[in-house]
This record gives sequence, structure tokens and C-alpha cells, in this order.
Amino acid sequence: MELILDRVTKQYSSKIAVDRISASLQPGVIGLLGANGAGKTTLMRMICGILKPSSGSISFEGMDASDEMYRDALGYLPQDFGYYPNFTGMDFLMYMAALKGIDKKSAKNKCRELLKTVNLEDAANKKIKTYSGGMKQRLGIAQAVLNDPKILILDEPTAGLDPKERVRFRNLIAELGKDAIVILSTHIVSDIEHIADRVLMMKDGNIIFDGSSADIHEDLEELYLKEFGGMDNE
Amino acid sequence: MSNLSVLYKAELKKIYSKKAVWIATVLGLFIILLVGFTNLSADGAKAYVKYQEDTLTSISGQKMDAAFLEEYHSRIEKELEEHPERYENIYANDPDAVYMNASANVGMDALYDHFYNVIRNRSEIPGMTDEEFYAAMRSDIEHDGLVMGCTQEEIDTWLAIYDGIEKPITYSYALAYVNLLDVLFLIGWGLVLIITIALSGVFADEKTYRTDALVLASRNGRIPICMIKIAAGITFALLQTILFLGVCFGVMCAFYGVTGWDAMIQNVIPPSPWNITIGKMVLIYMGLALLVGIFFAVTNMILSHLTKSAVATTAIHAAIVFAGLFNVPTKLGLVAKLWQLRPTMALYYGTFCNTYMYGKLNNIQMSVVIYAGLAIILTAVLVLSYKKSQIESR
Repeated sequence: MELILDRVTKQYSSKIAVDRISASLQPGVIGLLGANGAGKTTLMRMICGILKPSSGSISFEGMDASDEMYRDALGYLPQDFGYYPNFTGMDFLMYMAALKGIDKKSAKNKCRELLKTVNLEDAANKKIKTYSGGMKQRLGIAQAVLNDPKILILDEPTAGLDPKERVRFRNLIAELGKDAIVILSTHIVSDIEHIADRVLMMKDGNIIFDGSSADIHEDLEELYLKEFGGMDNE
Repeated sequence: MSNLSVLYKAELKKIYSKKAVWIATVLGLFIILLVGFTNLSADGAKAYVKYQEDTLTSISGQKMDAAFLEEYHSRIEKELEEHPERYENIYANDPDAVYMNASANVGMDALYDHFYNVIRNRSEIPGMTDEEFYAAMRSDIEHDGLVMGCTQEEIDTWLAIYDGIEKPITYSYALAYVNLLDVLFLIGWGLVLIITIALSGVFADEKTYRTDALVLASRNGRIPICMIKIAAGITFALLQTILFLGVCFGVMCAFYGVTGWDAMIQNVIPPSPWNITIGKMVLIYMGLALLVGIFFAVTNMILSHLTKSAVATTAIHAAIVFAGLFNVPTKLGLVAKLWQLRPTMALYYGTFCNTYMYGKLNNIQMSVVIYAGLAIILTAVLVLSYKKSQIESR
């Protein structure tokens, strides 16, 4: 199981957002670090197949990112997670399950199970517009893992979570990383430093560091601050 | 399949969960009921409707021949003789209105209106013969065709159809359908408004709610969801059209009865050259309204996708519909002919008086070809365009 990025580039008129990134990603948790404008979200969108690269290719087990079956293997939590305000949490998960091609019967069981996992069981039949920020984020996490994805893309997944939920979430990600390729973007170094098997650091559309936490002979946060010192974190 | 039915229901739920849709629907139904009740709101109106119904029903089924017109004239003359005091002032101020008022007093104002719509001159109605009546009807078709800028060939085609109608035409009480035709234009506009309100956000709202990335990144998030959204939008348009037309038809029939379904169309649209019954006219109209509803649904959804804004979609649609209020000069030929097929005209009863020909097709046949064709083409364009959707920067 391998996700291959081959010279992936995204160019907007004169600006290069992602510049010929190549990588081979295996199951495990991959932490993606970088400041604002580094190209993380652009890269994640291209991996999700919702933004076409200007050049280069992204493939998973022979399937191109634009293929329907590629999307079948995908779970995605965008940074700006959106929802339908008049849907209940259960409605929303059932809708997402249907979008992911999960049959109705299996979807019901899976949705109930996940609502329990993300501690939204009691709010399952309440409209999402009544949820707090943290509850919405947990719902977003639940929808991302509905189809037991082989590739899980999480853009700033811990935003809005309280410390207790953050720990719970980290454990969930570590568990998912055993069987899937989990790419996690965050500006909170502590979110990934203990669970990431591999760290990718991006700057100006390029990967400036690719290695494991063990490869870093200093604290990950110090390295991050050294690279992006004085810049706003994403 | 089961997950597609979940998506279909969810898309319908998204459409129907908009408050504006319910407000517009309730308001539309209220206006229909208001129009229906207007005639009964005034004191004595209900009694008059009954009086008129009884009078006209008693002559319903008779051929509109010389004897029929003599009977009509004799009833008016009798009324004028027996109640001269009712008409003294009218004689003094507007002599041509005497016959009209007398017709109303004997419960035959609908018949008077019918004659007037053919003769188009109040002073010629007293003493009018059946020959004059049918000659005037034929002349109206010719005159209206010339005003529209039709060629003599087009006019002759319709005159041949008119000549093929068995005469004298059988009179039928058909007030339900006369009143139905009066409000069809209003209903057409109401449907356009509601369809626009409901469907302008079908694709645009995904961006507004920031759910577009989630949808596009899912297995069924391209062609399947696009087709399902289109199906849900079309379902809404069809249900709304059936609801509005059904309620309107029900209200009119409840007040005026269903009599007249099998009568000739000339009983409700006197200068129409069409050789069909009123029932067939209603069915054709309903079919056309459903087709226009589908067309409107598709145009709304393609605009919703292209503009990614419900407000912009509504504004563009409103501008297009507003432009439909104006006529194109007949000297522009084909443009003027095609302009006559615009949705608001198609949903107007005048469509049964249109004497343009489009090759071998009449205006309704051409409308079906155009609206069905455009709906199919626009659906294909929408699906192909949506399939390529990208999430650029927010």
C-alpha cells in the first residue's frame, strides 16, 4: 500500500504553490508541518483529487487521484469543515456514508458506532447548527473515517478540541495509522511529535524536511521555530 | 442503489428545508385561493354565480346557430322591455353598454363576453347573426396572424384548421376553465419565482456551507451526486407545478363545476383556431407547464453551479424573466417568432392563439422540441462541468 506523489506541482499564474514534490507514503501517521502559505492545504487538496495538479501525478495502488475508486479509499477532513445546518448529526453522517457508497444498513451501524467514538451519541438527533465548535469538529472527524479509509487526510483536525478530546483524538489517529496512510496537517507540533511516524515540513511549496522524529537530533518544535521563526503558524 | 436513495431524499430535504420555499409556496396558494374566492367575497356574489350557472347550464349543449342567437337576443330584449328603469342612465351615458348590462342581469354576461371577444365591437352585438359570428371568428384569426407578422401561408394553415372545425360549435357552460385561464399567467410567474428561490442554491449552497470539498472528495461526489441533485431539483419543480395547477384547477371546479371538459376550445378562447376540446387544452397546458418547470429547474441549477452563488443565480434569472415582459418587434422575423416561445408566453393561454408555424410544427410542438432539447443539453453540460469541479482557494 503506497501513495506516490510524483513531481506534483501547482502553479497559479506567476505563483508556484507546490513545487515538484515527490514522495512515497506508506501506512502510518505522516505529520505535515508548515507556515501559512507553505502549500500544505494545496497539496492536501491535490492528494484528495479535488484540485488538479498543474503537472505531476498522484497515485495509489495504480489508481490516479481523479479516479472514482481512488476516492473510495479516501477520508478527508478539510481545514474549513462545512456542514448542513438543518441536518442532525445522524442525518449528516448517513448522507456522507451514502456519498462514500456505503449501503444503508451498514451505514446506520457504522454511524452509531462512530457517534459513540467521538462522544456525540447524545447529540446525534440534534441539528448541527446547535453544536459547539468542538462538537462540529468531532463530527468532521467521524465523517472522515466512515468508510475505513486507506488514505486519511486531516487538515488541522484538532482545531476547536479541548485538551481531553485532543488526547482522545491522538489515540484514535495512532490506531488508524496502523492500517492506513494518515496525513495530518497541524500547527501544533505536540499533536504529531509523539504519534507521527514521519514528518514532512513544507516551506514555499517545497519539502524542506522529510524524516522521522528520531532523525531529528533536536526537539521538533525547536526545529520548526528555527525554520519558520517570525512567521505566523498555520 | 440504497445509498443513492438516501442521497436523493437528502437533496430533497435540503431544498424543502429552506424557509423561503415554504413562505413562497404558502403565499402562492393563498393568492390562488384569494383569486378563487374574490368572486364570492362580495355580497350576493355566490348567489349570482349560482344564478349564472343555472342560466348558462340550461342552454349548454345547444349548437351556437341562428336559433341559439335568436334565443339570446330575445332574452335581452325581454329584459329591456320589462325593466327599462334599470337602463335609463346607461342609455344616456353609454348606449353600447346596455346590452352588456342586460346580459349580466339575465345571467348571461359570460355569453356576452364570449361574443364580444369574437366581434370586438359592442355596437355590433345586438342583432348579431350566427353567420356574422363565425365570419368574425375567422376574420379574427386572420387579423391576429397579420398583427403578429405571420406569413399568408402560416395564416392559411391555421384557417384550414379552423375551417375543419364542425360548425355550428356546441355551446357549453365552461366558466371553471375561463377563470382557470385567467389565472394561468399568474401561476406561471409564481412557479418561476418559487423554482428560482428553491433551486438557486442546489449547487451554490455547497460552497456557502463549505461542504463542496467533502462532497467532491467522496466516491459518489462527482457524476452520481450531480445527477441526484438534478433529479431532486426536477422533482421539486414537477411537484410544485402539479400542486399549483392542481389547487387552482380544484378551486375553479369547486366554484364553477367541471362542465365543459368535452366542449370545444372556442368556448373559452373564442378566436382560437385550434381544433381541440377544452379538456385536451388543459392537458396540453399542464404538460407544457411541467416541461417548462423542468427547463426552469435545469437553468437554475446550471446557473447555481456556474456562479456558485444563489443570489447571483436569482438575479440573473430575474433579469431574464423580466426581459420576457417585453415583446420583440415582428419585423425581426425569426427572432420575434422564437421570442413568442419564451417560458412566460408558453404558460399564457394566448399560446392557443399563436398562429406562427415553425416549419411543419406549431408553436406548442416547437416549444416541446425546444424546452425538452434545451433541458437535455443543459443537463449534459451541467454534469460534464460539475465532473471537472475543483476547489481553488477560498
